[in-house]
Amino acid sequence: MRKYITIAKDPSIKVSSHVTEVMSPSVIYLPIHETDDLLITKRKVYKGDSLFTNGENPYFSPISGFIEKIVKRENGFGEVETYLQIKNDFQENDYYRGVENTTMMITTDIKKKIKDFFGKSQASLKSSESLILNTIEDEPYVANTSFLLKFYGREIILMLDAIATTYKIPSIQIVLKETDRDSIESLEEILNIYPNITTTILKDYYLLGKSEFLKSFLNLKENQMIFSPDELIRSYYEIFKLRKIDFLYVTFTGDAISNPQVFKVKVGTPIKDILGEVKFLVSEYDLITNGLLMGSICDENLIIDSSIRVIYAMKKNKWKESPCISCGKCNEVCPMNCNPYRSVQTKGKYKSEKCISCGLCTYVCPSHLFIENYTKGR
Amino acid sequence: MKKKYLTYPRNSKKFYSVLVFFFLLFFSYGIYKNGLVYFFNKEVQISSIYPFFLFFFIGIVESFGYAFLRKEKKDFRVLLRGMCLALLVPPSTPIGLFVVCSLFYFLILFLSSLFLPKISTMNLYKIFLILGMFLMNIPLCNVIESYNSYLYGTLDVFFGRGLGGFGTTSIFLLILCYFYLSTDYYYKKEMPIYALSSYAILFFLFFLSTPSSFFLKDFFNPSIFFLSIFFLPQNEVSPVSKKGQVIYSVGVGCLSFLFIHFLGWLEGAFLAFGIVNLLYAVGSVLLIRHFSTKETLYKS
Ligand code: SF4
Ligand code: SF4
Repeated sequence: MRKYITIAKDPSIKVSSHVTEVMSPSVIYLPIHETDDLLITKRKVYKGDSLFTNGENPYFSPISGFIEKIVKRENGFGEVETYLQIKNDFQENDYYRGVENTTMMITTDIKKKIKDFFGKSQASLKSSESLILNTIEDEPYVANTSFLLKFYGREIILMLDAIATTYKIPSIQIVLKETDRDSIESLEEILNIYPNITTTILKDYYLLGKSEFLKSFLNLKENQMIFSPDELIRSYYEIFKLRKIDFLYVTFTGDAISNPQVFKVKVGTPIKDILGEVKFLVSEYDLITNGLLMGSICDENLIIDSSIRVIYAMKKNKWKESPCISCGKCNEVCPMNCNPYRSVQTKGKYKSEKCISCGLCTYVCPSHLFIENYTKGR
Repeated sequence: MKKKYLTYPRNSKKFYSVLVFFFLLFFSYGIYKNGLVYFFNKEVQISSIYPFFLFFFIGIVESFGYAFLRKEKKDFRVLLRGMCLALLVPPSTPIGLFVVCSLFYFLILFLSSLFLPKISTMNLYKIFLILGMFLMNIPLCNVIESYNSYLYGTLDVFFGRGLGGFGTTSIFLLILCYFYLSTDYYYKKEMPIYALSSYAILFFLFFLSTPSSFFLKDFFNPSIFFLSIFFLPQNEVSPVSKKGQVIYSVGVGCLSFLFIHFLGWLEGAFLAFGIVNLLYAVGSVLLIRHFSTKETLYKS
């Protein structure tokens, strides 16, 4: 039986209490590669214009403005990357030019759009007995989902219901964690009119935010469809509002700042644009993206892309590594059974391919060893 | 690049400070049962308790001295190490023997860190103390106890009448301390249970089959209780895997029964643990060497 663990809260790190909109960056940067196909020939771009594609994922402009140039600049992780630089004209001119679906009804047309949108998951959806919305944020202190449910809860639930109606799935289950009081309250009101939706409140165990762990925790089938609120709001925009979503939420918190907040930003915004809104308590700090257990250290050159969910500003690390005391806790908590203890003992000669960099081994290590360096043989 | 920013909440300072309190309880009990009680009965002079204070003082000074030389962090653990050196001393140990054995302990502590990191040096220290006493022909308990041991009942033994370190004979206090230790996330709390239950099973199976020689007080051997609670689960010297822990503990429990009740070595548990621990320490060095010779990738 897998051992689940709750990450203890550090009282010096606060949870974000409000949203700050930084929706008018003067310049945005979108990562482009030599092999990407440019889809646009003119300099002037509208919000929602397809700019380039890497074969699978087309990039859309989140602002209206002018393509300035292709630049090489640091990506925030000490590497140089190529970006398409777009200057904002602050007009918010829309590619869609007023086209908007105003209906909230699940019409035949909407059903067709849903089938097109979820084409790849068709088989799983058809065989599903229920749909699951996983609202659990694994990282402590991240409030993106709470705010998404607070401001867009109705849209997210509508989308979920529309998928269930389209594929004739009888029941919907929303999974919440017991410590996320805000999300529980936001949904309580909305769910009154949906008798087919039930909520399941789980303990605050780390990693239940990941579908594969939630499946094994709830004993679900391998092909069970699990949606995240982000996925649903994106599909809602495309299917009901006929446009690409042009914002994302990013939590900014940490023990080095006094005013944690969630930022509503455009993709491609340089992190420098939001640093001005943050009050730092110390001059020496580390910036970390996407989690204190799973994330990486970045710098002020970071560009916010859709993979960034949280940025922490943390006082410089206070723990010193000491020799392993063979307590075995790293092995006990490892969800992938990687045997991190053996990696430490052999100084990284024994590596594990299965390691998912969840950081649990490092979290429990009383010797403060950064164990992932050993499991990955770095 | 990545670093550690969150850690499992564990207030080790508070934890070890309570442990210091327990060790002081052991010490006080040792003073009481080996000195004060006889002093009040006018059987000995008050000066008979002075050596115990000296053991404590020397043990702690040596421990901090070693920490200073090896640039170790001078925390509660260093203090506990010094206290443990003193508590393990049989009541009639000459000061000279204690000093020699404790210095020897620090020498093997240093050498083990170089060659056999998983050897229990504190256990070796105890074995050398017993050996020294044996060679000098000094009883392992206080003189009055050695004359009266046949008078003690099960409860007397349970509360501390018996042979062992001057402060480590009260099984009642040891069990209390075990409950406290088990609240620590990093304490391998199942290991004492495995060892003591295998010891108990053998004891009851054997002596219930020969009821004439069954005395419950024989079950309460302080050395197996002390060793199972303090030495056996020590992280540095015990296996990491659950299976390994079971084999290791059961091995110690069974061998201890053999030494204590078959061969009649009342302090035999330390030897039993010494043997199992040595096998494990050598085995783990060989295993680490095996896995360190070439890069291996564990695939799913
Ligand atoms: S980081 Fe890797 S080795 Fe460590 S617990 Fe997670 S999966 Fe296991
Ligand atoms: S958690 Fe740390 S100290 Fe404990 S066995 Fe693993 S590496 Fe060693």
